[in-house]
Amino acid sequence: MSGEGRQWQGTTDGASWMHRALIVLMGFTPLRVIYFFMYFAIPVYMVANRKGYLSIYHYFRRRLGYGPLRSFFHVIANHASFGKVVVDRFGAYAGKKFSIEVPDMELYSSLSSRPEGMMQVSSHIGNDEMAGYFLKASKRIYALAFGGEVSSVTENRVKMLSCNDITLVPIADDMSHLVVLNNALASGEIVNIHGDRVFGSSKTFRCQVMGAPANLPAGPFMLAAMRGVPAVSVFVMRTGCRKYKALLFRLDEGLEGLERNEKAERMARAYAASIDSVLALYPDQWFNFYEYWDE
Amino acid sequence: MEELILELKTKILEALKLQDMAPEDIDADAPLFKDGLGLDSIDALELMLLLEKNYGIKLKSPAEGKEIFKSVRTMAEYVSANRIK
Repeated sequence: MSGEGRQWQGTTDGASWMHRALIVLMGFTPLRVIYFFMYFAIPVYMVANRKGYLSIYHYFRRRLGYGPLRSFFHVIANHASFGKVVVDRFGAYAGKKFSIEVPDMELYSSLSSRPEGMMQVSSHIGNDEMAGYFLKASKRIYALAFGGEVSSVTENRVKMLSCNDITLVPIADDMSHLVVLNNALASGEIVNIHGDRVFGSSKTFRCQVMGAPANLPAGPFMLAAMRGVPAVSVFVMRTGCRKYKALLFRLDEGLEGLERNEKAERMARAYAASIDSVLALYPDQWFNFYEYWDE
Repeated sequence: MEELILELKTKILEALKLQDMAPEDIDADAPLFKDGLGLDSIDALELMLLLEKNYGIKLKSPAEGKEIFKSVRTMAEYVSANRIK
């Protein structure tokens, strides 16, 4: 476990009034119309957010080994995918309906219905928020959330998520979120934490992600190992207009009896491998718009 | 109280695997986080587990963690008042 790493503090772009206006607009405008106008914003974003553009370009060039021109077109496809995911998220706030296919629902139901808690590790790949809205569990989910998100997004998330028995737990300076998460797992509930960005503790596990070393936060894996609960990674991938598919990977299988730190590290590695598997199928849905790898 | 403080220091060193430190290296009144012992959020989880396993204490209110984990002495005072083991 390493004590170094970059800290991520991300929010949704745009002011609260813009988000509210978008949600109102979504109420009576077909999603495809919004997608159409969203395409015009892509070149603007690619120019204005040069660091984000370069990071995604490097992802296609270095991690996926694409040529320069292919990488450029995939950056456009990546931005379009991200735009659609954001539009869908606001569409969900506005009451639009989406279908979600869950091939491993049996696994999810069997793990989430056990008496002990469960750790659900999500990521900034695909549309993880849709999991909260449409992946039904038989118990309460406590989702750790960055506390600095703009109010319009938080308000709508809370409104949407509360219908599905999900509580947002903002990261707090006084570490009160840790008490909530620890108690949730101890009481047999589900905890959801992003596993791909470092925040809070600077302790990380160095793992191979897409063939290159990257730092993953130790927190979600340590918490699962400490409490001895099963852990799954969950990815919700966009497969078409209003269509999503949830992919689940068990992270703690075969790790029984290992020492706690080793178990946590092995879970982090299994999580990294699950990222590789998902990106092999959906390479354009990688949404970490910063230089993720050290090189 | 001093006996419990020493016991807690030993258990903290064990739980956090701080093998290069001895109980007497920890000032009972020094902050555990940031400037003091330099612990972080994962260490805080370890401390919560330590209280639960050794003393049967489960923190009820999210806000009380900050006060309890201020220093080894505040931890000892809380353990002394709330232990069920």
